[in-house]
Amino acid sequence: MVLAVSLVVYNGTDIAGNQDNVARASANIQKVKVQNTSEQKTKLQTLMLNSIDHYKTAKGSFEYFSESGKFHIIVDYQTDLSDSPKSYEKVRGLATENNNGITTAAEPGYEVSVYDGENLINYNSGSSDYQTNSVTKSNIPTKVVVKVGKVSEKERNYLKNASIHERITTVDGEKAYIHRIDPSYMGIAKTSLFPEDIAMGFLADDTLWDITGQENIAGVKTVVIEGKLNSEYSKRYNAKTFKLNIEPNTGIMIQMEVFDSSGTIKESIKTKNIEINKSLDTKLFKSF
Amino acid sequence: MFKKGYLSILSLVMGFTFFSTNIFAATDIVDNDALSSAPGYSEQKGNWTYKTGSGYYNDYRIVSATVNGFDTDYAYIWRFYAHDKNAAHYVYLNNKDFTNPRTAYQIDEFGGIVYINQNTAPGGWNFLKTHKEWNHMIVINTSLTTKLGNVGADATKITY
Repeated sequence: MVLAVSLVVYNGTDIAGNQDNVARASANIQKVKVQNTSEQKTKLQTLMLNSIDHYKTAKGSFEYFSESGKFHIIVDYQTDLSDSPKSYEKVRGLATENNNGITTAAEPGYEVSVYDGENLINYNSGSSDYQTNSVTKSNIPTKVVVKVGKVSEKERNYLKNASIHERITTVDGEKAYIHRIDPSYMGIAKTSLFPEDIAMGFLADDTLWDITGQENIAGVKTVVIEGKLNSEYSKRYNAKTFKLNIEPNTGIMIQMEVFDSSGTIKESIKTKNIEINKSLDTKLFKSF
Repeated sequence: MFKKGYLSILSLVMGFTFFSTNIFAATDIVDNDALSSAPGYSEQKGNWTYKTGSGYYNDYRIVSATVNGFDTDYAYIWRFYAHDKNAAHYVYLNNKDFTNPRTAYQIDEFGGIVYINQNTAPGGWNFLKTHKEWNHMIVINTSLTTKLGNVGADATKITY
C-alpha cells in the first residue's frame, strides 16, 4: 500500500513526482508552500512509521553528528528489504571540522556490520590510531558472528501500516512505544532508512510540528517538517527545535537537524548520497 | 520515584501485546540492580557505573562504549523467573546520557537480536520483540553494539 504520495503544493504540483534517485550533494534548496493539514501530517508520519514497506533496496551514505553522544561519523550502507532481507553498514569516525567548518577525511579504522540473511556479523578493522579513533579500540581486527536466522513473515507484517495511535500505547498505565521488527537488521542506518523513532518521538504531538515546504537534499526531493522538541528531547539534546527532510514516496529521513535556541546544530543526520530501488553490491553482504 | 526494583502484577493491558488477544496479562519488571524480591534478577559483566537521580526507580547503570574491552568483557543481563511464556519484551529508555546509536539487545537465548538507537529512542518503554521460550531474559550484547557514545542499562519488562 502506497501512502502519502499526494502531498500537493498549492500550485498543484505533486511533490512526489518522478525523481532522480541517484543523489548527489546538492545545494538546490527551494521552499514552496505545501498543505499542512492534519490529514497530510498523519499520512507523512504513518509513512515514516512504515517506510520499510515502501522500498525494496536503498544504498548510500550519511553523516551522523551527535553532540550529546560525542561522535561524528559517516555511515555507508546498503539494505535489501526483499523477500531475503540483508543489510550492510560501514561506520567510520570523521575528523573534527577545521576552522572553516569543513570536515576532513574519514578516520582510517572502521566497523562493518552485516546481516547476510542468516547471521549478524560485526567486523572491526582495528587501527594503529585506536587510542583516538572513534570506532576502533585496538590495533587488532576482530570479527563476531551471531546466528539469528530470518524474521518470520508474521513478525515482519506485525503492525504493517499502523498509525501513531497503534504504535504509542499504554501498558500498565505507562507509555510504550511499539517498534516494528526490521527484517534486515539495518543498525545505525535504520535511523535514516526507517525513522520510526523520530516519528514516534519528535512527531508524537502533532501540535508541535508542521509541514513547511519542500527541498532538494542530496539530489532527492523532500518534504520539510519543522517543529519544537518536546520537553524530554529538549532536555536530552539541550536543544529547542528540529527540521526534518522526508522523501515522500518512502518515508526515508534524508536529513535531520536539531537546533538550540541560538540556531546551533546539536544533532544531525545528513545524507550525502542515496539510491532507492536500484541494484546493490551483493558482495558486500558476504565479505568485508 | 523510589527504587522498588520489581513488579509482578496481573494487569489490564490497555494496548495490545504481540500476537495475543488476551486482555489480561501479567507484567514482570526487572530493573537494573534488581532487589531480591523482584520477579527476576540482573547481572553485569564489566564495570558499569551505578547512578541515581533519574531512570526507572530512580537509578540506572551506564558505561562508555569506547572503554577498553567493551566488546569482549562487558554485558548487562536481565533474567526473568517466568517460564515458557509468549512474552513481549520491553526495555525502558529515558535518559539523556544514553547515547549509543546501535545497541544490540538479545532476546531470550534463541529469540535473536534487536537493534535500538538509544540516542533517538522515545522516552519510555520501548518494545523489542515477542518470543516464547522456557527461559526469558534480555541481554545487552556488546560485541554487536557499536563503539560510540554511552550504553545505558535501566529497567526491562516482559508482559504475557
